[in-house]
Amino acid sequence: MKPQDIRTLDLGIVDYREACLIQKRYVREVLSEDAVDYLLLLEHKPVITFGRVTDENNILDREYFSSLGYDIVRSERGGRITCHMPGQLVIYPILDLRRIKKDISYYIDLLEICVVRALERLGVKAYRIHGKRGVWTDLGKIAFIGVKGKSWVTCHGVAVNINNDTEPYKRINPCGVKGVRVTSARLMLARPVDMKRAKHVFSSVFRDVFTRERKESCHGIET
Amino acid sequence: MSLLARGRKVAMELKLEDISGQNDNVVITLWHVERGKMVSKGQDLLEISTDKATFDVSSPCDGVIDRIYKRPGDSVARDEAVAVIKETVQGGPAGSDV
Repeated sequence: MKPQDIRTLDLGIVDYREACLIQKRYVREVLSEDAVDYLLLLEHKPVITFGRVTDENNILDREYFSSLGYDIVRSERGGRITCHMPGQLVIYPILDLRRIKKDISYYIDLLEICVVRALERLGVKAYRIHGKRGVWTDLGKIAFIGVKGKSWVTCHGVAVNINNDTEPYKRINPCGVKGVRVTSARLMLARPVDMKRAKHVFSSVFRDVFTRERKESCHGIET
Repeated sequence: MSLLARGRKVAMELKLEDISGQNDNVVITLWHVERGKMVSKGQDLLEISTDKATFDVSSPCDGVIDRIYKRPGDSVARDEAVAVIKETVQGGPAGSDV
């Protein structure tokens, strides 16, 4: 099997519910034979999202979020609670894992590795911690994972704090855990990051890693 | 997500493949179908979750949900059966047991 393209689409700032519909459209496309895979880059309008296995008690200050116009959405993705807002880079790979490896844990490992490499290229030292999902820095957690899959095609993915305010994370239990410190690339570097450059770097790293994975697995695809 | 099909000619015991690392706890989040319902090949049957992911599991064949072994909230081990589908044959669902 010949590796297919991974196309990057920059969707700009998108409402979360609309982004879910957009992803479903691309999932259907990737599910069709010989379709390309996609890498969706976007920012979300302010929203708090819940995965399947958490409850709304993890919102600690509803008035705060209400005053800032946050939407609250129960999502189909995995993981627990997080928040999104402009300035945070969201990456939704729509990938057919049959072209890579049919292993959810392996896929999440790859997402984390991509984020660590991309942040390194932006000058941010970040790392993975065994037993704790997401990407971490010495100042706290900087990236959050939540994935959905259908017939081995992925959607949703990872959110990376680039220039966004991290104050909202103090008003929730991020990922359902109390007292998690949260940071951003802007805080780590003590200066704002050019979002256009950040998108380019993340896109480049994700495409490199997943294209290589597809090439390595294309000798014998399983269905 | 494909399932392994084992059993006799027209009844399938549905077992999740080795879908995730051995350290991940795989839990059934919800069933999209009930016992006795007809299903089509490719139709979503159930949703499973690990710590950071949810995946829909689809039916490997046309048939009828004959048994459901695992309920929402139950963990599923590798190669553990979650349900039985009686595969549809000409003239209607087959009647043999697993």
